[in-house]
Amino acid sequence: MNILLVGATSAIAKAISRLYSERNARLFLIARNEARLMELSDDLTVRGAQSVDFHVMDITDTESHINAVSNAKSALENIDLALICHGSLPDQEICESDFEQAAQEIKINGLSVISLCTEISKLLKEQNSGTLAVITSVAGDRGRHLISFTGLPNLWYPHTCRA
Amino acid sequence: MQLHGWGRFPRKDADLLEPSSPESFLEIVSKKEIAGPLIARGGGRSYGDSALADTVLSSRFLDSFLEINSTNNTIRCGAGVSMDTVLKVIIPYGLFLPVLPGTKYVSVGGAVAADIHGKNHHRDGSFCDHVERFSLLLASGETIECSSIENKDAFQATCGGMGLTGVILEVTLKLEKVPSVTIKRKSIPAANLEECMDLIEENEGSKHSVAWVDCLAKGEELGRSVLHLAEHSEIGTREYKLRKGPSIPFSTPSFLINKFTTRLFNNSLYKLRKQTTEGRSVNYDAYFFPLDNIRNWNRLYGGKGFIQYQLVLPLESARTGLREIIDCVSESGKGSFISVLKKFGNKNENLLSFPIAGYTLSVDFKNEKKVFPLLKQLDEIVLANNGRLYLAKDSRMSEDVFKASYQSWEKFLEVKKELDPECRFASLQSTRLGLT
Repeated sequence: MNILLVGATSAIAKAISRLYSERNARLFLIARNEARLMELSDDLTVRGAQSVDFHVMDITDTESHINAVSNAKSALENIDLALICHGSLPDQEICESDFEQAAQEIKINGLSVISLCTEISKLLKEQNSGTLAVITSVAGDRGRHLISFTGLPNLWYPHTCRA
Repeated sequence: MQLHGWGRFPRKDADLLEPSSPESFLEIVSKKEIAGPLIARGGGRSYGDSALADTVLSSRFLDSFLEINSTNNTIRCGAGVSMDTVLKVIIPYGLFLPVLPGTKYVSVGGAVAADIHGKNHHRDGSFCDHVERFSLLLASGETIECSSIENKDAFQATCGGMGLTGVILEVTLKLEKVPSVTIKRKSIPAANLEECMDLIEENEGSKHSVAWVDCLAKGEELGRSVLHLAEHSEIGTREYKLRKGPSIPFSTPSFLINKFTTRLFNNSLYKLRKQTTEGRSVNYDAYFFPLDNIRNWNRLYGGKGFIQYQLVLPLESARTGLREIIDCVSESGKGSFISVLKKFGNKNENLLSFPIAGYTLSVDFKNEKKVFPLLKQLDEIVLANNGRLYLAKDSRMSEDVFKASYQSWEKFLEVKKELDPECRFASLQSTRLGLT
């Protein structure tokens, strides 16, 4: 199985990639911290991954998404599963009083997800196969706040994003 | 939060920190504002208070593998990786851990800190005899590499040093090539202690050897037991296996572990083993980790927990000393159904490692007031026979008993002073034993 993980060094992505490594999957990891990606890559290789490649990317740099997805395609050839796992845990109160902060969180938890979904779904359509899933927080579903910055993908992509 | 070891006694309110990386460990250790002593904690499988302190640093996120070398048969991993996870990775390579404790949920770092032993100590030594090197985070914030050549003093003080020299971050282990992970087991009943020890001596060539002893039998049957011998089978599977057994969901009322049920258990076990003396193939998991199949078995002893008393007596006094000890336990009627006897090979050079050439016996006792005078009596027999108690199981040994039985404790303190001059790393146990 060929798997693309975005936000690969997050705890949930790490746990998922370890499970797939045990099944000898081929993995392509995307995250911003190169040192942590290298460590994770070693870990997954020891755990049984058939191959592990990675790409360093700041998720808010949406212009670089095309390149990242294209690298994943080159490494994996066919993508069976793409998982978007990145995100931040914003401080709701700060976001409500600081527009710059709110905009940044919207970029991380909302716009970047839309951009990646757009690129990856194009590719999956071309392949005529594959699954795209976004792992997000249930916070957006709870309705505790009028706007919840953590669960933005839930609100914006209700049919694709399920916690 | 309230923390305890596997014996669920004693308990302590502690700050449990879970650093996500070696760098986070460094940050915490360097923070002088954290009041009180620090101690690292792995799988939480030491029985007593060796991993209890005001601030406890969990190694659960030091859980990455760094490298496996199937040519040299070594593996490098974070200290928080469990034995189970290591086995999962190495078994498909035809490799195996050369020393395994009675549970697969011990962390690699914990195994180094307690210099654990297995059923093959008489042949293969203890865990740290198979540790190539490890990295150790010191109180100063410096990380040093330790092996039997590099920083030898720190290596010998850390192996078996119960976490008192610093935080073990990464470990390189030497592995063993095995033909399969199927275990050929043979069980031989012994009518009493003498017969059991004779059988152990006669079968010294067997790779794994451990006896289950009925510590309640008296008179001529004193120490009646079943000796389990085992080897890796030449023909068998190379598959990792995780058994899924029942779980004890909460602390059971302690009357369940009373004299009668314990005796009943021992009787049935004895009969069962007697029927299966012929060699039998079993999966490694069933042989090495029989109790892991009952999750949270430590809850069977009730809310107050239990004490596992593990002693070793040197060869020259083992027969008479063990007889005296089992006699005492049998008379008290307080011994558990899990009484394990095995022979140790020679000791290594590590300063606080438990094994010495001789026989080791471990008995569980429900934590109750009446048991403490009995344990004190056992301490005296152990000391009179030049024996000692295992630190990874201990929760109540006195400073005097410790210092009289661990001859290298002063040398250990010298090394600790060099590595940790302000005594930043300490546990309830180290304070009780006069080490910190």
